[in-house]
Amino acid sequence: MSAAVPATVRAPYRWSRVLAPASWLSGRLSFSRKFLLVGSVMLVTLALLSWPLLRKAGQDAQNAELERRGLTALAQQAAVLDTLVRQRGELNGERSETPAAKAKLQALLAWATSPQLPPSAPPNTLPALGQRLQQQWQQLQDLGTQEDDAQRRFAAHTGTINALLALMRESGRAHRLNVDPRLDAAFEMLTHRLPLVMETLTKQQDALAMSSDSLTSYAVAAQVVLSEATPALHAGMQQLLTPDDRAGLQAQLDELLSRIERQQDAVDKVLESPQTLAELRPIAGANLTQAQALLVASTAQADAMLQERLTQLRRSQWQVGALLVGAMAAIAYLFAGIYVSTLRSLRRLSQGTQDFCAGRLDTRIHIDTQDELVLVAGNFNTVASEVGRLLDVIREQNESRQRELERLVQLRTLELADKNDQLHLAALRVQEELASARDMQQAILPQHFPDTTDFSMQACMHPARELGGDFYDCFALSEGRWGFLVADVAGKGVGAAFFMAVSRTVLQDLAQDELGPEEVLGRANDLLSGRNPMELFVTACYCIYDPRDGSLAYASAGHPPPLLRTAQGEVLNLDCANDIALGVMPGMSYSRRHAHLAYGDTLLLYTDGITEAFDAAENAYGEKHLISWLQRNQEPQAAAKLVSLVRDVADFVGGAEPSDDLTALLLCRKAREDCVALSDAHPDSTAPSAYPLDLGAMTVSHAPQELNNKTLLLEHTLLSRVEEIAHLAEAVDQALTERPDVAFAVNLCLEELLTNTIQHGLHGAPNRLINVRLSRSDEWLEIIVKDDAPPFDPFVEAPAPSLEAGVEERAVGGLGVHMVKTMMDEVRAFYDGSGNLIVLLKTLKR
Amino acid sequence: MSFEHDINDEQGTRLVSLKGRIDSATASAFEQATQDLFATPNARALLDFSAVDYISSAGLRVVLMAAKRAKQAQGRLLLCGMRQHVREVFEISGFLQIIDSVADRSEGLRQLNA
Repeated sequence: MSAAVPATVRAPYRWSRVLAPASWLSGRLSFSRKFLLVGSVMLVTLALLSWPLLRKAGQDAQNAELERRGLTALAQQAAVLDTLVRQRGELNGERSETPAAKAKLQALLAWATSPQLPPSAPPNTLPALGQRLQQQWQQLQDLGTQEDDAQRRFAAHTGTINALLALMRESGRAHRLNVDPRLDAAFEMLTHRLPLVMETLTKQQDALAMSSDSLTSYAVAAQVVLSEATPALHAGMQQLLTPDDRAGLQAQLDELLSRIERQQDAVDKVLESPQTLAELRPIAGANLTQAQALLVASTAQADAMLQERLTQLRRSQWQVGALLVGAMAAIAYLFAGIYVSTLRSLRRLSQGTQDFCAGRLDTRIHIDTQDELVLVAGNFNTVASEVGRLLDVIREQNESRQRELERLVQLRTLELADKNDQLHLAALRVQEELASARDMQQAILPQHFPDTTDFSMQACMHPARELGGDFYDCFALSEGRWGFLVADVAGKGVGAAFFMAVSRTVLQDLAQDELGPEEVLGRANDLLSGRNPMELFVTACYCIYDPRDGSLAYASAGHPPPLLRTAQGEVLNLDCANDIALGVMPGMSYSRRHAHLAYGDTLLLYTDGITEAFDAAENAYGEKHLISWLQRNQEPQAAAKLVSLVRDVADFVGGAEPSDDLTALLLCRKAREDCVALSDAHPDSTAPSAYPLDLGAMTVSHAPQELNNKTLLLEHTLLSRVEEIAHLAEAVDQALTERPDVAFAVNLCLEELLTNTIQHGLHGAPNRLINVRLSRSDEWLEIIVKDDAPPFDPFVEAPAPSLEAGVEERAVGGLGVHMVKTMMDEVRAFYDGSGNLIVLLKTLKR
Repeated sequence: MSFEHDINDEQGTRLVSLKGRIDSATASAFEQATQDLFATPNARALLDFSAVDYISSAGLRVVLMAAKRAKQAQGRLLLCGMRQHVREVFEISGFLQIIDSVADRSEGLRQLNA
């Protein structure tokens, strides 16, 4: 397949191979250097090309200069020749050797010995020829002084002239006059033919003049020489002639040639008749002058031509130079223009790219040239708008995704809210059920405690959570004895609550059977161990109290020992056997212990919810606080004492979350005087005109002495909950057994007032304590209600209802207070600084 | 002592037998018992108080509301069997002037079905 690669593909590849070095070089140069490099190469090439031209012109000029110098030298030599030739003719006569001619010759000799020629001149033999001329000349001079031999002088003279002629020819060669193609014939004429003609013309006449036969042949030979010279002279003259021939050279030459003809005629005549020699002499003399004049004129013409040529050469040199400089300037100008334009385009491209990269996405590059950079700019603009479009698409996608996400989040939020609502409803339902379970649990615990002339008892259980595991119980046994207990189921919550209910039933059932405390616990243990699927257990302390002698029999199943406070304020732990909790394993036995309560003694049963009540700093209430409280508190009534204990623990704990159920049972054996006083009290029949309005806090009970004319029928403390009112009603019914009609009215009034207090005075706060006390004299029943609510007088603040209104108009409020006022004989309300005190009086008269 | 109630239909009359204490704590149960008595127009209902030991203003409030609903539904509400104490409460509050009552259940049914 590789052989089938098309030539069009391979050719660029080959070109790129060929161009690799150049492109390598280009890749390493900036644009400015590239332009500089190319421009330099072009300029150097131009210079190299024009160099030979200039050099040739220079050489030509040099040659022309040399030729001109040759012409100058020729003129000088011709003058010397002229002198020598004329001297030879004066052999026989006067010696007219002038000092000027001699000086000319000396100068010529000096020049020939060391000719000052430029280096371009070809090598010559001028010095040798000059020496020869010198010798010939010396010979001639020497000859002149010795004797006057005409023939010898003639020969010597001729030798000298011949040497000069040779020198002239060599001088012509040395000045390159023979090589100039345009003037070679002319120079031949000037350096050779014309001097030869001059020499020959005179020699012919001189030889004839000597009248020697030997010399006659000279004249004849001269004729030959002269005739031969004619074509050469014509040829040389041809080169010198200008079209207009201002100098009249042609005419001069024709004149010379015709004169030579005439001289030959004269020579022929002389040869025939030597007497005509005199005719010849002026002709020859004039011819010589003519030849000399022609030589000078021709030399001048040749020099003029050379001068002209030189001028032309100089001009052409200037032209080439100017052309070169012009070309260079043009190239430089073009390159600079291209460079500036390209650089401007590149700068715009670079700037645009930078701007784009810096985030200005609307950047577009505008290049107003016609070169390839416009394509680059166009491509950039296309890419830029494409990128902008893509970004728009991406942004659109992102926004759409964002919207979708937000929609989903909203959806999920709604679902979550829905679920939360459901959860909330479920939690409310559970809460409700737990609340009713707690009510149930509280309901199964006795709320009424014995408060006889001998003793008073009070117990409470405050669960830490909705459901507690603690419980207490108290019940009457035979022969006036009382059984009571406090127990603590391990654990909390629903399971513990169930176990508590079971345990309480079991213990109560067993206690009814008149068993001793250790037997009750033993049997209860067996029963509870038998049905204990959750492995729960319960600690308990069960006591049997006989009010007649204050004796106490008790047994403990892993429970904290009861505390006994003597009337003197001494507190001691009752001795307990270390028996195990109920429900752990069946078949356990428990030990009975005995104790005795003296008058004024107090017995406290509690669970560890009291000693292990923690404050915010995690400090436990502990046995220390409990004993301290028990020592301090001198409250004779169990109910008030218990309220005080609960408050003491609550004060210690502060706002901390309760950690365990709080359960306690107090048994107070009354002091002997109290019993006597109460039993001996004779009810006074006088109306209770003076009431202890400064009764103070409800925990402060009346001193027995103040009750001289009254019997305390009931002292009841209840939590601020409407459910508690039913228990109060039971107690009232019990306290007023013989007067159910009064009991009904009292209960009605108490409920109305307590509901008012709970709902309006305390705004539904569930755990405040309200104290109710019933006392009687013969005639009057006194009811005192004490709360710790802010000041609140129901008899003033409640509006009176309109009893006559029809069904639609009747308001449901205000009825209660109206009924209280109607049913009671006297109603009053006070605020004593710590709470409201309501006092009701009802006549007992039928 | 708590509150219980029982509802029967006796010849087109809703007979509500009440028992125990009607006080602040149990009034809500009583209210639920009487809630739907007059859901249909021209309904008739008889509240039997013969086993009620006690009633307070909270209970009176429920009776009053039931009477209002009866009036709106153009139905009839009758109370019967009130013991002396309970009757006194109704009397003191002036309810017997606006709500009809009869001595016992049979009398009540007879009047309502007449």
